[in-house]
Amino acid sequence: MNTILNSLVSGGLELENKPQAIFTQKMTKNYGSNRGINELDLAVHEGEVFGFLGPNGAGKTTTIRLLLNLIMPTSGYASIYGLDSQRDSVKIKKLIGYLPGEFSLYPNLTGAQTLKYFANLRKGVDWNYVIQLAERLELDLNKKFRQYSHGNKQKVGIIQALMHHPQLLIVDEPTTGLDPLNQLEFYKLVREVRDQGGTVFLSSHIMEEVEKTCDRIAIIREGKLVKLGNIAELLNLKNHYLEIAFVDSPPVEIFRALPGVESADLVQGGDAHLLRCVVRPEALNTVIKKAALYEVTDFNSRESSLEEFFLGYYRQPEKVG
Amino acid sequence: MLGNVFMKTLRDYRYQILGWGLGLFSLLLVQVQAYINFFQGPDREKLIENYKQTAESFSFFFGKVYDVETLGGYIHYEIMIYLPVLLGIFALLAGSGIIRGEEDKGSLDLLLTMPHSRITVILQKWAAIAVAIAAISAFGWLGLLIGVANAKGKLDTGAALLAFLNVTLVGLVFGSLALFFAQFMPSRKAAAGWVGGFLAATYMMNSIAQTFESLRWLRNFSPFYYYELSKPMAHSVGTNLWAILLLAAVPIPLLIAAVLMYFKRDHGNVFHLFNNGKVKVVNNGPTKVALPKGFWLSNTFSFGLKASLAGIFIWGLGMATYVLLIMSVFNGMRDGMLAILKTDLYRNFGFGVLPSNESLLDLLVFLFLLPLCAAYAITQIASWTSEENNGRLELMLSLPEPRWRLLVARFLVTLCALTLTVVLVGVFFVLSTQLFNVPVNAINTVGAFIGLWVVSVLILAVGFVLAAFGSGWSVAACGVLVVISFVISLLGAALKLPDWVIDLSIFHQYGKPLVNGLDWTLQIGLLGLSILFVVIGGWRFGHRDLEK
Repeated sequence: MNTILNSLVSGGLELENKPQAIFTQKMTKNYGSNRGINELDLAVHEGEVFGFLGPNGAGKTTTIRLLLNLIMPTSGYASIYGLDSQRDSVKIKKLIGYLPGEFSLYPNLTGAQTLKYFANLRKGVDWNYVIQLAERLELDLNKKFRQYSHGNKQKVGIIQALMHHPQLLIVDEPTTGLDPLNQLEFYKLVREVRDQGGTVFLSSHIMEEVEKTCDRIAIIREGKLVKLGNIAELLNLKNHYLEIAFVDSPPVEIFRALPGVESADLVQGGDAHLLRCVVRPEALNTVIKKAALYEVTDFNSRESSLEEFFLGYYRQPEKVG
Repeated sequence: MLGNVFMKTLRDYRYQILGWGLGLFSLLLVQVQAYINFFQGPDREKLIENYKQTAESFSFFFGKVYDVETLGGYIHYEIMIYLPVLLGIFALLAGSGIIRGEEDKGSLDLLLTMPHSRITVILQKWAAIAVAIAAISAFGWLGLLIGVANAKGKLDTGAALLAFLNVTLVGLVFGSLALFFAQFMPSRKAAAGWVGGFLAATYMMNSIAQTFESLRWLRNFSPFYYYELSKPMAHSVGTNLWAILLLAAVPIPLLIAAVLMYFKRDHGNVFHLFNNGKVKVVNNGPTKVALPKGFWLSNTFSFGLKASLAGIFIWGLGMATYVLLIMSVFNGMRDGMLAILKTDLYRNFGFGVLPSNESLLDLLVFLFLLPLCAAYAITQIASWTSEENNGRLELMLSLPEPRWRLLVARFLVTLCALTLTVVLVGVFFVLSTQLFNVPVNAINTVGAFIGLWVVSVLILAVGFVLAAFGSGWSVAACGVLVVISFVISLLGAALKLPDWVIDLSIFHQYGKPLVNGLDWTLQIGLLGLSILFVVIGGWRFGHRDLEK
């Protein structure tokens, strides 16, 4: 895990110097009360896998649809590889592959016919690569679209997004309906896009997916960006959950007052007095030293999961910034 | 409205009930007023006689006429003859949609996880469409009653109620039949298509069998035959209770069969007769994926055109069959009909008075081809807007093509489909004039079909420009415009509408090119207007948000 993180961190630093694949400046889409996005500033660098997270209705799909010029911004600006998202929309679409969160295709066409049609419209698609992708995702292309399961329909969408080797892959909830094996195959495909110099913009709810695939993430809530950062750095920011068993009841106020302690509560656990604290990484040493002043019978520490970390941003308005 | 499956289904159809119902309501109001305007004047006897003669001339298709001198008989002849077809179309769309349509969309999956049996679900949904059909009929009945009260006319309210009950029962037959078909059809469209074909075939069969003695036995298989046995508003015929009871009984076995099949089959699959309702699974092992070939897959235009082929043949051949039918009986009824064209009634309706084959064919053929081509144009607009409404357009617009080009490609597809349909009907028209020895002016014939094409192109263009402003409501808006335009053209003179209002009707602008020749300047103007609409549509579509 550490090796992966280190490589991601170093990779992330290199990314800073790369040109921007996606750039938005004060991009706003106003749908009325509590909807749309508000002055979104975003920069996604070429060659990175960028995770875009947020609760339902936060504005993730709206952002994607604005980038693709499917909807027009109320104000602000967006560009992809330096091209204006509205003026140069056609040029941009030559560079991108897109998988919508929800889509529908032609029920009476087979998967092969559907993909061939899209390949013809895109031009220059290597059919052997389409077959190769279908084999990797275990998709039978001879079936009609209406006969596919939800997961297999999603695979058709994934293949059409990847078949022309896009420079920028924009995917909205890409692994919805895929089984775990096919999810892993999709993550491999994403890494291949990045390894070949491409950029991936991934909107997802699945924290594990984000952790496995993304270099940087942005969290959006109620149309506003609330967190943007390198995923490795964010992992280092995760709090520790401590559970310390004392013979006698310790003065809980002392622990609460320590800098870096988010919360501290005392509960009765059998014969022992259990102190449960949420502690920021930099305060861990101070808390342990303070606890050592009292008679300790047991000590447990665990890191918060990435999910708990993200959920904090999903829920708490005061963490905006 | 969301308390149970019945109420939810009824809620799903609320706008359709209102739309169809208010349309019917207005139609009945207008027709009552038209009757009063026509027949309550000083020339009443003469006009009624003319009208009777006309109606008799159409009896080869619409059957014998009864009591047209009374308001009830007139309403039966003007509305109730084709009303079961209209309501049947609504019913078959609803009947095919309540189970198979929801399976296609995927919404039934969740509904079936609720603590309800499949039987409860299907019965509640069927009951809801039965109420919806009855509600639409009730709107018509109310329109009639209010029209009569307003015009201080005379009508047997109970007989009118029975007449609308009769229509409702025909609707229920087709709704139940569509529900039945949907159990062994792979999609809603397929079920609706087959039942729609059955509806058209049985209506035509019943009509044609009235003229041809040898085909009369076929009428027994047509719901329209049993419908026509009762004419409650025409007192000299009255009500055939047995026919009404039969129509009421037919939906029951259809419903039972549909319920049993639905109960037996796999959700999302079709009913299979010889495998306990389940589809046989045949595993042939992995198959090699071949490179899909076919020119139609190469671009949006060829792809769209291929998808339109079935519609071109269905609509084109349907209209061509009608043309053939008219031509086959034309010489037999020509003299009687030519005399009728000279009467005051036709002057009031705004028809030509020249006693010629062209005048007669203008009335018998083009009066019907015009709204049919307009309806076909609207189905083409609906096909375009459905791309956006069902979410397919999102992927299409992620491709490197400018939006306007996609819109123009789709417009060209619909234009070609329309052109092929009109050409198909035109070819049948010309061939049948030769086959049945009906001489007509060749140049005017070409002009009449070009005019027909131009009117349809303008309707297409209006539909596309409306769809460019919003896909959700554009088809309905275009449909309303077309209906209003047709009613103005047909009844504008009788209703004494101002000339400038009548001039706004595209059907009025079509004129009578088969009789008078085509006004080429007008056609060029209308085509120019169509191009303008498409340009505005292309611009607007390029600058608006995708709805879904």
